[in-house]
Amino acid sequence: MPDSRTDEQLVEAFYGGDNTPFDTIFYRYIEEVRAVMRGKSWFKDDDQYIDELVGQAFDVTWQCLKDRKFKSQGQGSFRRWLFGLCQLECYKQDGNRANLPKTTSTLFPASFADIPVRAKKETDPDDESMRSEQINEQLKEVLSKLTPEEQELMRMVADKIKYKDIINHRFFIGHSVVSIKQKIYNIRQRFTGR
Amino acid sequence: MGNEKNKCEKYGLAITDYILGEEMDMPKEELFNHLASCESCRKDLENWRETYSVMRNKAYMEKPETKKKYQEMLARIKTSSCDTGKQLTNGVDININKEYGWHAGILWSHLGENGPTKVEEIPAKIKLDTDKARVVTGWLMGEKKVCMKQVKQDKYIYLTKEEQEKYLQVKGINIGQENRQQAEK
Repeated sequence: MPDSRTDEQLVEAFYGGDNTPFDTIFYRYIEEVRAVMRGKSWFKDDDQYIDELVGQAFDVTWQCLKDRKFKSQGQGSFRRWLFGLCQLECYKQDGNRANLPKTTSTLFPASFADIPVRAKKETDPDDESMRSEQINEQLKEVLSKLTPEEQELMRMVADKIKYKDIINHRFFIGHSVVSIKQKIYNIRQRFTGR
Repeated sequence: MGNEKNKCEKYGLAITDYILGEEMDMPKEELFNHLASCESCRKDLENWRETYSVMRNKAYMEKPETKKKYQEMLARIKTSSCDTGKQLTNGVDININKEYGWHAGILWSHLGENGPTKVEEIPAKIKLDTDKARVVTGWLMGEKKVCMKQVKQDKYIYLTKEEQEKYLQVKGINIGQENRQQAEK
């Protein structure tokens, strides 16, 4: 049964010495965190690297919570803090990967863990996460109305399977690349409600 | 109006291909020129980019191996500060990932750039003391990212073929970024 406590209540319990609420936080946010970090990173097609980013972000989260760096400012404040931290971590690791600084001090400045809970603004990563949730909901709705054949097509597209390989799938034997393209185009028109 | 719609459908198909990394039926420049003047197609591109990103993420997260990977990740994070087992009664916890993981990355890059390196030369090459360099080398060995060979009296360490390819791929991306930055200047 899912833990119905708010994030802030979970953090409070964590501060009280119980580590298990961190598991709930981890599983509650892992998918959204990955989506946001994937969206932010320059290396979005490298799944292994994105997983490393996610691991790093949760590692920093764990350390910050251990050091009681997060100060609750009401419901929703943990979420904003977490996504702020993920964004910083993503920029930092991407920068590191590109420029390779020489010392750990450039990587982990002492002030890094003291990330303030920011006021919401237009480019807030929390908003992006909400947007990704919204798209997720739309996707679920549209996908549920597709035929099994169309659902399989979109699954293959999401798995990065190329058109030339899709036409060899049992559902699409006899189709041409052009007709596959047209099918995907028609389906995605439904995502935008056209 | 109808013509306009048909025209945009042609670009809509190209947008589908572009985001999926497939070959387009038109040169990129033609699509970009159209996007510069058509707001509806720009929105279409943005929507499809977002939707595809969510689809990819969702598909990845649903794989059993991903679930297992994240279970292991959580376990690793929770043990990183050594809360379990016999604890030292005093002293300061060292964050292993911060302290050594990053230097492992530097060694990885060094090996990618310079190829096989003598084990005793590693500390000087990555500017670390000998003990730390040993831990960092062990880290990469544990993750099966490096191999070792003995030539006469010298032991050499080098990246596995897969890791070397990954390094070149990353470097290729970086070179691309540098070129773009230079072109912008």
